Amino acid sequence: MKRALAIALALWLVGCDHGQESVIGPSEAFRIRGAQFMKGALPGTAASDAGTATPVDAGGPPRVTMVALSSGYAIQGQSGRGISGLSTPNAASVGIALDDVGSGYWVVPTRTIDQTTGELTWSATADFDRSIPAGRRFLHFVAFDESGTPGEQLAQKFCIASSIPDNLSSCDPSVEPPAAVISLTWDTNVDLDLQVVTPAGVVVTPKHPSTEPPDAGTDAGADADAGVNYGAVGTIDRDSNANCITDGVRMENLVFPKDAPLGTYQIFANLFDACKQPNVHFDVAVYTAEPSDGGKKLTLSYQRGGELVDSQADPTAGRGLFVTEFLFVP
Amino acid sequence: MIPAAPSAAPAEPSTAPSAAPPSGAETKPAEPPRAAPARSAAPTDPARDGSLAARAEVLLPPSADAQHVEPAKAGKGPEAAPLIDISGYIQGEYQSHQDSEDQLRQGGSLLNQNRFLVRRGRFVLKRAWQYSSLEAELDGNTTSGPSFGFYRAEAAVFYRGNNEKSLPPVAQLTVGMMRTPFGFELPQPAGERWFMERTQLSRALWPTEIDVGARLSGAVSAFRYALAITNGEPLGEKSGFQLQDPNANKDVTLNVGAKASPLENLEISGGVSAVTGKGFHAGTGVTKGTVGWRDINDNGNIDSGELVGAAAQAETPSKSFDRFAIGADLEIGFKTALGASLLYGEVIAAKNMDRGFFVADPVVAPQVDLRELGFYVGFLQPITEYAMLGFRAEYYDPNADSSEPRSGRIVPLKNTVRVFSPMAGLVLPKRARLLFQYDLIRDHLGRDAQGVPADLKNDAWTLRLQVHL
Repeated sequence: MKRALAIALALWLVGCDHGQESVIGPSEAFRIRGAQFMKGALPGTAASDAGTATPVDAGGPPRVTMVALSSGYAIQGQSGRGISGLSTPNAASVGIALDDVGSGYWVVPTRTIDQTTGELTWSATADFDRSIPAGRRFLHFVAFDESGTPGEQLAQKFCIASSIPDNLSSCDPSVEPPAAVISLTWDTNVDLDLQVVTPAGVVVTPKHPSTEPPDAGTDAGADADAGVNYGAVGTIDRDSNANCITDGVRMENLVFPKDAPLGTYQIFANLFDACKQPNVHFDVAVYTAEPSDGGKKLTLSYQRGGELVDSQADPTAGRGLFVTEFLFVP
Repeated sequence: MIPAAPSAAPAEPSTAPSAAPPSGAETKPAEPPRAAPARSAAPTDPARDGSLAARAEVLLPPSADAQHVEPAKAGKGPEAAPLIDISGYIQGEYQSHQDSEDQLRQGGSLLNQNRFLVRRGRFVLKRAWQYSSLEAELDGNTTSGPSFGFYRAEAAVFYRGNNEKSLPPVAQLTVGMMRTPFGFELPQPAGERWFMERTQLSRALWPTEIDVGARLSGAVSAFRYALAITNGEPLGEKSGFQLQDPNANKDVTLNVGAKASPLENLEISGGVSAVTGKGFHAGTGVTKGTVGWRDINDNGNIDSGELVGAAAQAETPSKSFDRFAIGADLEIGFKTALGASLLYGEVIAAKNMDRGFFVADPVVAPQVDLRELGFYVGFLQPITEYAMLGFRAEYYDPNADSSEPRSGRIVPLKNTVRVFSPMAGLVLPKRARLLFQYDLIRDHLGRDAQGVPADLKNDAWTLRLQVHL
């Protein structure tokens, strides 16, 4: 009996800190589906940029020899990005981390032999949380051998592009961002619509997504005489969760690519359909292109939040909840 | 991932412990809470006969299965038996799991499992006559949010023959929602079990004990038998057909066993069990043609060549597949100075029977049968009648032939789960239990730095208070 108790106690003590971490939910901002999460910094010797790594030594430590990405960036909140590559034949697994993001790294095993190179293949599917700050980063890779010894890291240039449509200027500063973006984001899967009334009195909604009046061009002379600059046309980029068909984006942006007509803009949030949700918290933000490092950068100029409850849903409403007025000045 | 923690099972069957003093009896001297046995009494599970309760009254409260309900007596008076015998219990508990996260799983289910819950609130209604009986069990719990409903419903006719009152009838035919008579753990009421839940092995093969069908069972001398024909889709099965039957085939379960007392303080029982039947792989319906978008270059825009048409698809037929399980169990009860100890164990080998953990479906690729193997050993030691210690160890392999490509080779893939469960409890005899159990879970649901399947940090502990009606 005493022995059984001792064994039980020993097992319990051993069990207090045993086993691999379980990360299933989105508690890590950078996630690899189906991979094992490890807390701590990515092991291995100092990273080298892809393409400039030291030559592979057949008898040396394991190495990631090639990384294949469909593009060099991922948009904030993007899911299902495929990452694959090759490693030396002595690699048992590959660790992956995004620098300065999250509290650890992910491990995937190497799989089959690549018939062309004789090296081992590996693959992963990555999700990038919206909370990851936009900007240029590195994806880091390291191979482990069968004893768990890591080799030299490989650093792959990568960029997290802003979910605000900025022409990818967050990844390439030489690209000019839009002149202004009015953005509506929200937290639950309801059909919420951005409504903006322009200085010219045009009501812009996802169903009428342009700041250009419906009859534009028919009496342009008279409008020009009225001092309205219709040359700068803004467009709402999408109708998110339209008719409660969930797309998960929960964001609508009125984008002025070149110039925003000056004047006062009224911004509304219209709950078209609550989609059986009790309420929704939303956030309105206005971004404008401001000078930065010799170029321009999309900068947050104004932000305000609010809440709507399901009883306020009204698909026939001409206007939603008034949120704010915003003045575009020279 | 399917959690391996034993205490995370969905609503699970059990019957109420039979100790059922009248309402308010808490303030009265403890009177044996069982109704007087009647000649017509009908144990609901004669194959088991509440045998452990009989040989270790401190270990197990009087089994609901062994409780005999006297037929209603004519006339009125204090000695008249109740028309309906009511019993029940409530299990309230706190669970803590190492793999809890303050997040939601895809689909919205909770990943946090550190919580209070009502694991079971059971109420059992019984009535018996000379040759027939009925029994209904209601269950309420908050395991997956509040729920309440029928859990067990049995209608039975029986012939007692010359069997004594303490024995099951010679033959009993039961029809309805009932426990499957396989092995030791499955027919045991949850209110009588000292460990929090059945083993991972048992819960994988039978997500709950309850199935719908007919059962012929009884006792002849020292031998017990039970033959059940059921739909084969137990309550809690993940196929979506629980308690229904998508194929005409019925599962046939056979259990034969014996019980003997070779020494005054020693009792041995055991048996062998087998079940055979057909599982079901659901086909798919016809679909319309659709247009899909594959963001090949991951730029978030629809570019040339990224719109893909999917032609309308014909339906695919459903298929049935063979499955079976065989098992053997042995229980040894012996009385010591400390109390009535119990050592028990069971081993089960099966094919395509996993319906709750690594669900077996040999119809899908790679179209191979899944062979399951598992066993457990448990020990219960009462310390006087006011405390209980226990330890249970189990092993379960849900797929003995699993493999995966790794490091350029096809290598065996371990899926085995081992659980070690020390348990300790305080007991208010025949009234309440305060139990603590730690589940040390050793599985292969994680991976180590080499990419090799490794133990996941998912141990769990439970503190439970169980009070009987």
